[in-house]
Amino acid sequence: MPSPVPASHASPSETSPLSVSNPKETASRTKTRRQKLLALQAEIDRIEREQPASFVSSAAFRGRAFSPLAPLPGESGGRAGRAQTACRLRRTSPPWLSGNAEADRRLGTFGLDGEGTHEIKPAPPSLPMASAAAFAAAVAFALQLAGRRPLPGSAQERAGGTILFCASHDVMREAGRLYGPGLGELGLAPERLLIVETVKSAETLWAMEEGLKSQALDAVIGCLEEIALLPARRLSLAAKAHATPCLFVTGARTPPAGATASRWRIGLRPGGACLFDRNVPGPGLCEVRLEKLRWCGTGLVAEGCVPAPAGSGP
Amino acid sequence: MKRFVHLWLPYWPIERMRRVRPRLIADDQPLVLVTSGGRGIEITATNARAAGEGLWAGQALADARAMLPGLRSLPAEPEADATALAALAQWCGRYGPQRNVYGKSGIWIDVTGVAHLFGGEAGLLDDIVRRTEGFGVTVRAGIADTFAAAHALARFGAFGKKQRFCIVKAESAQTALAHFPVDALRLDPQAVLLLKRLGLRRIGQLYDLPRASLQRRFNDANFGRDKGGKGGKEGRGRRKVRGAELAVNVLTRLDQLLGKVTEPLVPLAEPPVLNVRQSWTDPLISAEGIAAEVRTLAVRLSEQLEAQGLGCRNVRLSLYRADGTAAEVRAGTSMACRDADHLMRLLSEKFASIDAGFGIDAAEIDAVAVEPMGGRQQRLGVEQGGSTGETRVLTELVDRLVNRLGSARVQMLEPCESYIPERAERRLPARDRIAGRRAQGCPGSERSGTVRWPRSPRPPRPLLLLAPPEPIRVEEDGWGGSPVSFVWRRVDHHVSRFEGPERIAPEWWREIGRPPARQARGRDYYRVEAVGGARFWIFRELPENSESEKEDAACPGAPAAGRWFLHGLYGGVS
Repeated sequence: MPSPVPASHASPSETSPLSVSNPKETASRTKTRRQKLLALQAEIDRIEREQPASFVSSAAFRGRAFSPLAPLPGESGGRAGRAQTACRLRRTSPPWLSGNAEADRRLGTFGLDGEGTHEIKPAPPSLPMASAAAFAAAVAFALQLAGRRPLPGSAQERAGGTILFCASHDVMREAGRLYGPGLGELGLAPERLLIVETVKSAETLWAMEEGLKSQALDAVIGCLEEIALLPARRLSLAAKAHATPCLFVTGARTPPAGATASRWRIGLRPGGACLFDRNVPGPGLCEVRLEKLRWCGTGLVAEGCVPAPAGSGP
Repeated sequence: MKRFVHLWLPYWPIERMRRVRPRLIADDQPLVLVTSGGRGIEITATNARAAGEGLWAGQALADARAMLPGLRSLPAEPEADATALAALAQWCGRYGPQRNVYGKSGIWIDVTGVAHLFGGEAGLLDDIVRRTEGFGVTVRAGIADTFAAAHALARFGAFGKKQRFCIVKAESAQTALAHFPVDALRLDPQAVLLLKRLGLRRIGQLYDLPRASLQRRFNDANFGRDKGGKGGKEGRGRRKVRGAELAVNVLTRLDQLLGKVTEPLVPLAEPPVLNVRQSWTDPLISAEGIAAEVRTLAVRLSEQLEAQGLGCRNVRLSLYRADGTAAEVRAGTSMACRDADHLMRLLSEKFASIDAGFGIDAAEIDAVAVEPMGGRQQRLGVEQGGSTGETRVLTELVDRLVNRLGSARVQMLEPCESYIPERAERRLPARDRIAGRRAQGCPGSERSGTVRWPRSPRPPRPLLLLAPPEPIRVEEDGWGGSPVSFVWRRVDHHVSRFEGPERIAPEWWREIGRPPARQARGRDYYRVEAVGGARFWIFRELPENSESEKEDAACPGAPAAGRWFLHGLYGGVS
C-alpha cells in the first residue's frame, strides 16, 4: 500500500536547484532530450506553483498569518524566495489533517489543500442499511473536516470562524436537519454554522459560490446529489481565488465530481462497546477511504477509520 | 407651505381601454361604457365626443340611445381601471414621493419643494401633461396650496387648447377660487342642490356668510322637505342628524379649500427618509447603462447617508419606464450600511431581471429605513483582520443570500432551554441572529444569548434530527422492553447494541388546559447501533396515562405499550 513519496510533496527547495542546473548540462545533447527536459521543468514549475504559492495567496488574502518577516508574494525573488515564504508560512499554520492516521500520512507535510474543493461520498451500503445513515456519516465527516481546519491567528479568532452549510430542502427532509446539541460531539460549536436551505441544486451552487467569494468563512459545505464538471470547476476556481476550502457531500452512487483536490468515501463500521457495559454502544467508528488525491492520481490512496474525537466517548 | 398637484383624467376608462386594445372604436364616434345599475343599464364613462353630445355618466343607456340612436357601448371594466390608475400613480412618484389615486379618475401628488427641478411650476405641470398626453390620456392638472383647491382647479378650472393646466398662487387662492361653482367643494349632491336653491352658486358667496347661520340653515327641517312627511318622528330625527352632518361638511370643505384646516391624506407608499434621483433626456435601454447609472445613484445615496451619520437598513430602487410604468426593487441589509458597492451588489441581483421595455428615463433610490451609524467604514484593498471586519463581511454575505433566497432560509442555530429534543434548539433567521449578536456587543462569542449549548450531553445527541419523527415498527424484547429490531423506510435493522431508556417527560407547564388526547406524552429514548454500524436515536411514546400503564404492565398480552418513532441519526463517530 505505501507508495514512494510523490514529487509534489518533496520540499520545493530540493527540487529547484535540479531544474535550474539541468538545462545547462544538457545543452549539447539531442533536441528530443532537451524538449523532454524542458517539459519536465515546466511540470516542476507547475507543481511548485500549485502548492507553496497557494499558501502565499491564502495568507495575502486573509492578512492574518502574515508575519512581518515573510516577504509579500510580489516581492519574493524567484523560486527560492517562494519556497522560503512557504516554509515560513507552514510554520505559522499547521497542516490541515483529517484525523485518520493513514490518510494523513498520504497528505504529506502540507495537509489538505485549504484552497481546493474536496468531495465526500458516503459508501454505497453493502448491508441492507438505510442510505441515510451513511449520508449522516459523510456529513459528520465533512463537518469534522471543516472544524479541523487550522487557521493561523490567535486562539480566539480560531474559535469564531463561520462555516456555511448549504443543503436543499429535500435533503433536509429526507436525512434530517442539523441538530445543535449533537454538533458538539464533533468538536464543532453550533454557533459557527450558517445554514442555507435551498430549493434547487442551482441555488445550492450559487450560495456556495457566494460563500466562497465572501472570504468571511472558514469553509463551505454543500450537500448535492451530483455535481457536474462545469460547476465543480467553477467552485474550485472560486475556492482558489478566495482562499476558502469547499467541501461537497454527494450521493453514494453518482459519478465522482471533477476538478476536486481530493475525494473521500465514508462508510460505517460496527463500533466498540462501552467500557462498563458490553451492550451499550461505545465510541463509534467510521471507515474513511481517501480515493483520490491530486498529484497521487485516482484509485485507492489510503484507508482507515476515524475514531470518535477525544473526550466524547464514555 | 405645501403645494399639491391634482390630475383629473376625465375620459380615463375609455382611454385606458384604447391603450390595451388599440383597435377600439375610433375617437370621433361617441362611445360609452355601461354597467347594469339599479335602473337598468347605466352609463359609467363616456369619451370626449359622447360628452360633447350631452351624455353623462349615470345616465340610463336607453335615454342616451334616445338622444343618439347610433351610440356604441361596451361593458365597463372598473377593476382594470383602478389597477391601471394605481400603476399610473406609482409612476407619478417621479414628481414626488407622496402621491396616491383619488376616486376613480384622479391622482394627487405632493410636489412641495419639487417644482424648481423642472424649472418652476409651469415647467413641472407642462412636463406632467406632456408625458401623460403622450400616453394617450387626456389630463387636466391643477396646482395649489391645498389638496382641495388643486382638486377644484383640475375639475372646474378653465382649460382650453393652450391652457392645459391651472396654477393658483398662495396669496391669490381666495379670489381665484371665488368664482368656482359650489360643486367644486366635493359635497354631497343633496347639499349642492340645497346650496343652489338658496342661491349660493359660487364659492365666493359662501365666504362672507356667517358660519352660524349657514350651520343653522342646514339643520333646519326644511332640508329635503318635499320628501318628508312619511317617516314620522323618527324619520325627521334622522333627517335632522343628516342635515347637521351636511352642515359640518360644507364648513369643513370650505376650510379645507382655503387651507384653514389640514386634510389628512394617505400616500401610496411611506415617504422615504432619503432619496436620490436622476432622469435622462434619452431613455436608457442597455443593462450596462442602467447598472452604471444606478451605481452613480448608490454612490450619491451613500454620500448623503454619511453626511447625516446614518446607515440604511432598507432601500428601494424605482425605475421609471418611458411608457408610463414603473418597476420597483427592494433590498434589505442586516446591519446599517452605507457602502455603495454592497448596496449595488444587492440591487443588481434583482434589477438584472427587470425588463427595460421602451427604455428607462428616470431612476431613484430611496432609503426607506435608516439607523444612526457612527464612524466611517474602511475601504481597503485587503480586508482588515479581526472581528469587526469579519462580521461586516459575514453580514454582507448574509444580505446577499437573504436577498435572493428569503430571510427564513438563511438560518443560524440558537440553543433553547428545554428538555424536549426538538425544542432544545431554534433556527433563527441569520439576519436577526447577527443583529442580536451585534446588540450584545460580543460578536462570535457564546454569550450572545442567555442560554448556552449543552456541553457534551450524556447520552450523546444525534447529528441529524428528523422533523417530524418517523414512525417505525419495532420488535421488542418482551412486552414494553428494549428494541431488538426495527423497520425504518422498509429496511430491516437489527439492533446489536443499545443504550437506554432515557425518559424525557413532557413539560407539564405547557400542557395546562389541553384536552388529554392532545397532551404531549413522555418518551423513552434509546440510542441504538444496528448491525453494520449505523446508529439511530429512537423513542417509544408512552401511553396516555402513566397509571394505566402500570396496571397493564401487570398483565402481559395487553395492547402494545406505545408507538415507536425514529428521531435522529448519529454521524458514525458519536
